[in-house]
Order: sequence, then structure tokens, then C-alpha cells
Amino acid sequence: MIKNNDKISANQVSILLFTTMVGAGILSLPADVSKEVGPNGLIAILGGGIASLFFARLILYLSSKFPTETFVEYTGKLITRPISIVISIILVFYFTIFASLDVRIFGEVLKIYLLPSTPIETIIITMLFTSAYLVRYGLEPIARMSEILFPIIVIPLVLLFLPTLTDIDLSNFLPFMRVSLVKFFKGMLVTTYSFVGFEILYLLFPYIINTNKLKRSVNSAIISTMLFYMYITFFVVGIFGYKETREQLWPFLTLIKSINFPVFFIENVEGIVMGIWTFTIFTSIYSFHYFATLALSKLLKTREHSYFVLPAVPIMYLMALIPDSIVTVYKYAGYVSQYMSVFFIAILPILLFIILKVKRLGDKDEEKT
Amino acid sequence: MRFFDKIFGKKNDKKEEKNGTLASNSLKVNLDYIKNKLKDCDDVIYRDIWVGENQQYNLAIVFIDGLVDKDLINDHVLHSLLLDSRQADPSIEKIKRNLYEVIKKGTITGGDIKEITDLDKCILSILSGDTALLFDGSPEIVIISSKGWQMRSISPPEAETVVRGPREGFTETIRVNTALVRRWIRDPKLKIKQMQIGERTHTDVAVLYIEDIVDRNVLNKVMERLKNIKIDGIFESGYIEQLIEEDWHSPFPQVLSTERPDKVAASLLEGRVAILTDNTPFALIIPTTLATLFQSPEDYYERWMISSLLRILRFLAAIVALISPAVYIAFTAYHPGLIPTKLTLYVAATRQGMPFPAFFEAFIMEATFELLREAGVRLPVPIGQTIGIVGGLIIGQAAVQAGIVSPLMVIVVAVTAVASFAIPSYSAAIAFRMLRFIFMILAAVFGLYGIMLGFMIVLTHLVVLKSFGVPYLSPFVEIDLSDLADTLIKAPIMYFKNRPEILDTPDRKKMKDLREEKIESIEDDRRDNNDKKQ
Repeated sequence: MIKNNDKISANQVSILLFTTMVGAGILSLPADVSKEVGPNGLIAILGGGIASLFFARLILYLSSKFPTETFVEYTGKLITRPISIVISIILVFYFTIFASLDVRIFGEVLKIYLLPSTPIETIIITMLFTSAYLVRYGLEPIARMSEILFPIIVIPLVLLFLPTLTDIDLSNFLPFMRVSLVKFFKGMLVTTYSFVGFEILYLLFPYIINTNKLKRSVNSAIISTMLFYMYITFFVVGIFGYKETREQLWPFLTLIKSINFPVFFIENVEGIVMGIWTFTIFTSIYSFHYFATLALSKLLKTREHSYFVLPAVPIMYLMALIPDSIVTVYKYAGYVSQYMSVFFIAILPILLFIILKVKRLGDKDEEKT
Repeated sequence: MRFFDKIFGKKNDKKEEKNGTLASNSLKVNLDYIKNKLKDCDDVIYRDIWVGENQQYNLAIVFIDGLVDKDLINDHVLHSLLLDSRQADPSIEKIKRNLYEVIKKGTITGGDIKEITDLDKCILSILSGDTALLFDGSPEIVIISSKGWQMRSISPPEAETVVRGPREGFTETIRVNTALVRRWIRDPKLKIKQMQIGERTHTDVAVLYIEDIVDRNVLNKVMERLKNIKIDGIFESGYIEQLIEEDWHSPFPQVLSTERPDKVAASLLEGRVAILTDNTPFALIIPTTLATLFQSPEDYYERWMISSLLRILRFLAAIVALISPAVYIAFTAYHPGLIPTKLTLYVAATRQGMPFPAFFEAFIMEATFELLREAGVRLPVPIGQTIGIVGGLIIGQAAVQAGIVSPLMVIVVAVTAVASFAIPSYSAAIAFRMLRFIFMILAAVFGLYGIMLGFMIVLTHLVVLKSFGVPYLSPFVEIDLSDLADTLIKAPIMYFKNRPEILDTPDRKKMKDLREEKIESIEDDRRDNNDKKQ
């Protein structure tokens, strides 16, 4: 068996964060923000991105105080062992839930656009096993996989929208900022689902080689994710207008369907986009899959995370099949992102930060290293 | 008891192997030992000779007929010993005291000699084509290098021809091959470490590297793995390749094999290690990554634009060779809506009345093609062409006319075949050929999603794979921009100032910055002009 030393560089962290965050959310994000803030979706995404950046840096700061430990270990020092265990278990489930949600949405989309007669169970189980095959080998191959897929995901998606540039009606973004502040915050809140993924920083820190460059790579990851979302939302809302956008389940795909290059061989780019989107979802699924098993292995103090990779597959499979329809899937996704995500992204880091400052812990560890 | 026997038996074996059998003072004893060991080997020639004034000193030479250069033995050994030595007149005293020294240093006119005292080593030398000269009254044996068998002359490499570039390829003799590399790199730092592998074949294997450029980790790994090989025989460098590669499950070659000395020399300058094996024209280059499989020496001889275009073409060819039948299956069987309507209608029309589903049709054609290729390789050249005509034209045409396969399918198969030949490395092309069938099966089960699944699985395999510690997909992973200049494209030569970043080479600089020099020269000109004006 090939040994991988399981350390990744700051650049790889940046790409891993991007590919983890960009996942199923991209399909529904324009509709979600249009529902809440109307024409000001772009600004809501900007706000959500900046908030995410702030909390990501906070999580990074917390982790850097305990450079050799993951979340599971250092929270034991901050908020007593039993509470830490409970939160860690929730964290494992949290990652598992996101992997399941992603794979379920993936299955639904694929069933509608590519494989109408294939049972969704088959799509889900093959995707999960493919993810398990990669995750078994650990962090280093995962980071490399993200590096390979990153340009394949980003470049075609950015280029594909350009021909529709002329269809954009800028008045679709007016009136500017005429929403109540509460609505605006709600709009920011719905973007959380799309930004979910940077929580992996809780666990990632001990596996990074050049930690001094890490701040920059977290910044660039979250800012580029935000810009990528804004780019897509700009096109979707700019062409359809917010009223039409919010009525749709996946406005992103609707827009794709409307693009065609008659000059080229492919009449509609749906097939290509489905291919790219398979990669997009794959990167998110294996990332959540890996960090769920990693957190679990830290929790149970086993040497290898790979013991849990295969057992996680049936669990994620069953969880993915719990919602009975795509509407319920999004209802659950809403619950999870608005309660659990907000807890892990915002409330928990603030709490931990306060406790850290009160207890004056961690500084000692930093001096040692 | 048997257990102890085993242990002690092994120990004894080892001792014998280490010390060998020392030669004795008596010529007869030594000769008997050799004759006994080489019993029933009728190609061994023993020649007893007497030298000295009164023909009182007994000598013997031993060699193998056919392996040695007979002229060399006649002119420089026998002639010298039997005739020339009589004309010279060293004092009898001197001869008496040390006949061995006199003959070794003063008589034999062969160029390369060495002395040994170990009879087993002596036999090994005889078997590799050297001539042994044994003395009566001395335990030392002189080995005269007299290798000279019938060998193929240097000819153009058959599998790797280029339009522009040297035409010489390696031959089957390791000494010629090392010389070919030496001629490219006249650097004392070019090291050629030779060893013998194979307990029975004793095949010469040479490890080549440039001392202050080579990646030490890779070199150590190569040396260690070569030393660990315990096998009775090495035939072809393919044996070594398979014995030292990291992952034998992989369809992808982790070691690059080449017949071209220029390719070996260039790889050495990049900090890689090369292995030459006796009896084969194929050298091994280590480590190998996916990107190197798409490089052809010609890329570096031609100007950058055409090379870059050819690189892109090759990568596209690899993708076409990998997935085009699978895409055909996916589109006709699952997603006719994703291709232009006119094409859909055309495909549907050609497939009208077709008895087989798309997958089966594609599978039959691909399998037939592989069959034709395999048969073509086996047959002698004139008949091989017949097979090409029968297979390509008659079967293809007949199958279409009989309505068994659609004409589009024949085109797909043909394009795939042509594309798979565009990949410079033969073993890489085989990998893509094998994976093609897996992609076809996946496409038959899941359509386009199956192809994506295939990509994800192959990519997973590739990101995990390493060749001697170097990630197989580098420099696409652990991205380094300067390395990317020699992958999908081949940047202008000015950009290759440093050796590949993926290898840990002590001497990084490859070239002085031409642009800086240009700027300097321009500035110099300007200064001169200014001076003149003043």
C-alpha cells in the first residue's frame, strides 16, 4: 500500500475549502436569496461571504492556538470533556448530514436531467462508494483530487455563461437595497447553506505544512467562493429577474438549459454541465465524508480514519433517503443550515473564543511550539 | 532437525557465495576445477600453451567460442604469448622470479585486463565473454576483456521515430548503450553504476544518474529495490520495471521505457535516474509521471508553438481514445436529446433495424479491432498488410452492409484507434486501451453519469499513485507554475530555467536567463551609444 504522509500545503487548503463549499448550494442559491431580498441577492451573498470570512478566520484563530490538536481534542480543554464529546458527536452527524443532503440533491438532479429511468438509490450508492474509494486513502489524495478538479469545475462554468452576457437586464437589480434590515439578515442567513464547508478548518489545522500562509489561503478561498456565487447569481437574476428566479427550484440549471452554441457540435450544454456538476458535488461529498470519519476516529481515538469510511456509506445512504421528496429535502436542508450550521459557524466559535480568552488557555501551547 | 538444517544450510550457502573458491598455485588444480564446473559445456575452449625459452612454463587460456573476439585473442593474446615473447629478452632470472608479472605487464597487448583470484568469479567472467589466462605456479588469474559477439548495429528506434532528431537507438549490448549516453553527456558527474541481477542469468544492469543533479530519494529507492531483487533470471528491462514499480495493480506505467539515448540523456539532466539492462534496447526512466508519458523528444527540438499544439493534440487524443466509444454508447442509448437534433435523427436512421444494442455493437467492433491489431503484430510484415486489408476494409465494410454495425460506429472505432497511436508512450497507450472497455461498460449501465463515475475512479487511482515517491499527477497537483510549462503545452525554451520542481535536485539551475542577458546587452549598447555621443 502506498503511504501518504497526510500533510497538505496552504495552497491545497485553499482549493480544498473552495471545492468543499461549492456544492449543491450553487443550484438553488439564486432562488433562495431572491425569495428573501428580491433584487439585492448579490449584496446578500456579499454579506454572507464577508460574515463567513470573519467566522472562518475566527475558527482558524481558535485552531491555531492548539496547532497539534483537532476540534475533538481541544474543545475538551475548553468546555469540559463531556460537553466536548457531545458536540463532537453532533459535528460528526453534521458532516454526515451534509454529505447525505448533497448526494440526495445530486441524485434528484441527475434523475431529472440525465437518467430518468434509473432508480435514485443506484445513483446515490454508486456516488457514495466512489467517494469511499477516495476517502479511504486519506487527506493528501483528497487535496490532490480537489486540485485536479478545481480548474475543470471553474473554467468551463465561468466561460459557459459569457455568451448570455447580452441578455442581462441590469434593471433586474433595482431597486437597490430597498429591503428591511431584518429581511436582509434573513437573506444572509439563507446563503449559509451555500457557504457551509469551511467548518472543516476545525479539524484541518494539524494536517497543514506551512501554517503561516494559512490566513491568506482561507481569505482567498472564501472570497473566490463568494465571487463565484455572485458571478452565477448575477447571470441568473440578471437574465430572469428576481420574480422569475424565486419561483424556480434550480434557476441555475434553467439558465444552463437556455444556453446553446449552435456553431459547436453540442446543441445544449446541459450534458457538459451535468458532467462538471457531478465533479462539483463529488468534491463536496468526499470532503464531508472524510471529515466525518476523521472526527469520529479522533473521538474514538483510533489510529486510522479508514475503519469508518465504509460503515459510513450505508448510514449516509439511509439518511439520504429519509426525505420523501425534493421539497422535503430542501426543508431539511433549511433546518440544518439555519440551526446547526449557524451554531457551528457562528455561535460555537464565538463561545469558544470567549472561553479561550477567559481561561487564557492555548497560549501556553503556542509558546511550546 | 530439518528446521536446523534449513537454517544452517542457508548459512553455509551464504558463506560459499561470499568467499568463492580461491585459486590454488597449481594450474592443473585450477583447470580441473573450471573444467569440472563447466562440464558438458562444449562451447568452452581450453588452450594450453608453453612459453619461455625451453617451453618450460605452462599457461592456459579459457574462453567461450562465439562470445569472444577471436581476432583479439589471436593477435593480442596468443600471438604475444607465443611469438612476441620469444623476441623479447627479459633476463631469465626475472622470468623465474615472477613470470606472472612479466606476462601481465609486458606481454599481453589486449587493452583491458584485470586480475582475480576467485575461481567462481573467473568462471562468471568466462561466461560473460572474457578470456581467462591461468598460470602454473601462481594463484592469480588474468582476465582479458575480449567480449565480441555478433551484435546488431545501431539502428533507428522502431517504436519512437521522430521527424527531427537523432536517428540512433539503443542496441542489445549494455556497453554500447552506456557509450551512447556518455556521448551525449561528457560530464564526469555522470555516474554509471553497474551490477548483476539474476542468480542464473547474471544480467548486467547499469544505473545512470548525474551526481549533483539527481534526486537522492529517488536514487536511494531505486538502488534499494534493485538490490532486493532475488530472481533467477532477468529478461528485458520489463522484468526490472515490474519488480521495482510501486503499485502492480495499476494499469498505468510507473516507469517509462525508451529506446532513445537522447531521451535518456535529457531525463538525466532533469534529475531522473535511468536503468540500462543488458540484452535489451529498452532503457527505463525513473520516476515517471503522467505528463512525461505525453512528451516526445521532438517537442524540444521543434519550436515551441508547434510543440505546444502537438501536446494539446496528444492529450485530446488520449481522452478520445479513452471515452469516444463510451460517449457513443451513452448518447445513443441514454441521452439522444443532448446532441443536435439533426445528428440524433441521423444516428437513429443509421441504427434502424440494427439487431444489437449500442453497447454490444461498440463492444464487437472494439474487440474486433483489438483482435486485428494483435494478429497484425504477430504476423510477418507482408501478411500483416493483408490482415489490415481483410480486417479494416472487408470486415468493416461487410459489417456495415450487413447491417450489424452502424457506419458511425465504424468511424468511432477508427478514430479511437488512430487516437490511441498518437500517445507517444506505448505502455500508456495500452493503459488507455484497457480502460476504454471499462468506460464502455460504465456508459452502458449509467450513460453519461457512468463516464463521470469512470473518470472519478480513474482520477482517484491516479491521485493516490506515486512513482518512486513522486505523485503521479504532478505537476497538476501540488501545483507549480514553472513545471506546468512543460505539460499541456511546451513553453518557449527560455522558460525552462530550472529543473522540474517535483524532483528534489540539488543543482536547480538549468539555464541562464536569456531575457536578462538580452536586456543587459541592450543596456550595454545604449551605454556605448551614449559614450559615443559624448
